[in-house]
Amino acid sequence: MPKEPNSRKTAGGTSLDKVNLMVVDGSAKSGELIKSILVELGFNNVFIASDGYQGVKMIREKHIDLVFTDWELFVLKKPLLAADPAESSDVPKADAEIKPEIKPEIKPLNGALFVKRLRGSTSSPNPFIPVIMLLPKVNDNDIAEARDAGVNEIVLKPFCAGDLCQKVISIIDKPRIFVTSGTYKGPCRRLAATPLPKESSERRIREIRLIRIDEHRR
Amino acid sequence: MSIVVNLEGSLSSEKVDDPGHTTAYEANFKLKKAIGENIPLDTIFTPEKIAAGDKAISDSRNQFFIVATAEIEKLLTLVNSESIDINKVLPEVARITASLKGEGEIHGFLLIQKICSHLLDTCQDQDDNSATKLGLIRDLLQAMHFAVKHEVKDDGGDTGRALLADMSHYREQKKTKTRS
Repeated sequence: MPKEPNSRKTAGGTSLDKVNLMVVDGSAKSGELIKSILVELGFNNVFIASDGYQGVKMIREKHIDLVFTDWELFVLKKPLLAADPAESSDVPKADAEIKPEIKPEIKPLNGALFVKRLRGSTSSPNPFIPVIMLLPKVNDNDIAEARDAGVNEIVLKPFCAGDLCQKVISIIDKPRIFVTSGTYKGPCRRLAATPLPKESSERRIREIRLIRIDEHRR
Repeated sequence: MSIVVNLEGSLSSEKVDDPGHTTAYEANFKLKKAIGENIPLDTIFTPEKIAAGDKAISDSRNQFFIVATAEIEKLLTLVNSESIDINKVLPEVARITASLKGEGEIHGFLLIQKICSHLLDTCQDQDDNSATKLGLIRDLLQAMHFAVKHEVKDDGGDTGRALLADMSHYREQKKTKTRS
């Protein structure tokens, strides 16, 4: 059993103490395992949510900076967030203190839907929050679904500690712009740096607004 | 193309009528600041920390079959008891199965993953016939017991694949019998 660290400092004098992580996993054991890996990597503040609803609540209450979510979140007793009729056109409000609406229907929720709601719902506590999804190696459709839900990075299971580190570093080192359109809200999905042909313009993004978003502090 | 830089940090909630309209935001995450803006990224996670993380994984892997065998045997006792209300037992079966599935996925135990998937699907089936559901759950738990007792770490080879094919076919057959 790893000893509880007081403060983990890296060689360069940085501390991961100020970073709040959340693991969303319907499996209690794998949630605990992922937490223990992250603690060994130096993250002291790791919270576990067993379903999407709890995850949303925790993001708000604990000021989470980074989410690790499992692909399957099958333990769900309450609906996650209201399905907004105007989801596609609303600009997400990062700082809004809006309580999730509770609707009577309960439906199975996978990790992709949790992320989609996080990105697109007007009552999301932080639609820009970085999300790493942990996905079993099943088929390419699941990977595409995860990407289209708006995750920042994907880690395929089985994984090692180095895989998690690589994805965290990728989020810090290569942050992608956050894009909202009629059908998608999330980090820009275009990873390949394909140059445009000469004398052509970027038609895909009709308007680029570089708006710096400073998250609310504790 | 217009570029607007707003350093105040608050988002406006303008409605955009054009469905093709795309807006890009540069979100200034605290993550980088908290770790240290000028710190070389390759020093954040030292080899010692990564090794410690990997040790947590291997320790869990070493314990997995011992713990899983005990839990499956507990479930088998539960589902084989004489007077049993399947709807009261289902949550416990689902909870333990979900837990083993998640951990099995992290370690890459494919056969265990698949059996757990079948078990969870059976638990969540809207099949009203409790006897059918109970029979299926018992069979799947037996299969799971076999896999964990023999510490099957991959797909179980030809035997494992045949077992999974049988399970899918068996479940379909039982469903058809129930409907008719």
